[in-house]
Amino acid sequence: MTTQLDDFETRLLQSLRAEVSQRHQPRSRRGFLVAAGAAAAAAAFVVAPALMPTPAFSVSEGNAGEIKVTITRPEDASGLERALVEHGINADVTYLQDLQTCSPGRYRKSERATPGLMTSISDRSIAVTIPAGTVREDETFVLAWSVLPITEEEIADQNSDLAPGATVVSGFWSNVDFAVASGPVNACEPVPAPESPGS
Amino acid sequence: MKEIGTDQDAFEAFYREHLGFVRKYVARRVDDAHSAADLTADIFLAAIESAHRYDEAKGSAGAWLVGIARNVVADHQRKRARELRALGRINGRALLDDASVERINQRLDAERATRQLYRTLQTLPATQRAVVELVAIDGLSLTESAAVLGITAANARTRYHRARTRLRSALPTTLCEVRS
Repeated sequence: MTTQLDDFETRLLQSLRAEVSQRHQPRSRRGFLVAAGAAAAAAAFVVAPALMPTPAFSVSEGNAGEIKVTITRPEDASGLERALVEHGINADVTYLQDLQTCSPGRYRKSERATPGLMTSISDRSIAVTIPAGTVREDETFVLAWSVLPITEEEIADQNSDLAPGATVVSGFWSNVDFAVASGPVNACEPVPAPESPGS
Repeated sequence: MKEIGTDQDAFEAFYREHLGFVRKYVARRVDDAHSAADLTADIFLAAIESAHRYDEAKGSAGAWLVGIARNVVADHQRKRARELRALGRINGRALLDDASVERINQRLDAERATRQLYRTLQTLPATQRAVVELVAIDGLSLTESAAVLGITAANARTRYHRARTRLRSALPTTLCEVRS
């Protein structure tokens, strides 16, 4: 049976298809670089240098006024903050190492609903969509991103679950926290992310 | 089936095949369009998340999805949906437009009586309620319900008839002889 879709169901299907494409296994908070069969080892060495010329981030505006942020490397947080200010969004961006996050309580979260504010994690970047009007003049978009390369044991563990023909050659744990803050945002005090390995 | 978690086209076929069921399942349990949109997104997200655990020997894909939908709705009722969406990446209600809200509201209106029955079932013990819910709300047979719940058909039949004894006036008389 094939069901006729309305606009909502079509958009939901598109989002879910994107979700499927971004995951190669069930755990959601990390990205993996997957290469096929025997080329796996080479791919790990070829891909990494090729990433270097890519800008650390990009900021663009969609047709509905939404701001789309893509971050490929956790570098130049202040540059991203300035780019967002140019689009009318006050921002506080923090990059942390070893899967940390900022200790809670450093800002007061806006009580307004923020429909459409979302983030996605892929094997090479994170993306954030900020719909028009989500962050008001007296508010700040707060983002903290931290990555941790996966270990050889974790790579072996993932490969045991993969379908034939695909091999995980590298990957990372990724933790993204984002919110709209109302009022001042205090400095980040790094703490282990709640779902980090060993926390 | 397992490939719906990794293959976009396989997932789309699954989505199109089962969306009709999910629409009704949700409309029979919540009474506002935004919650319905959230639950629809969360049920399919949970299916993607759980696809690798699907075991054909334990039942059909439809029965498996009913089990997932049951868990998602239960989470929603335990107020955990917001936490799940914080971890997930799709906010169902953010994808709505006025026309879609109107269509969902039409489905909600059509299922008003069923939602009343659903609320009535909350007075039953949990084990009985689970069977009656699948039979009386979702139209599954006793055998299908037993597969969803991981119990024998005989056990499901016993639970259903005990529930009918407690709620004789509330259950539709047409369900006196349920499919087995």
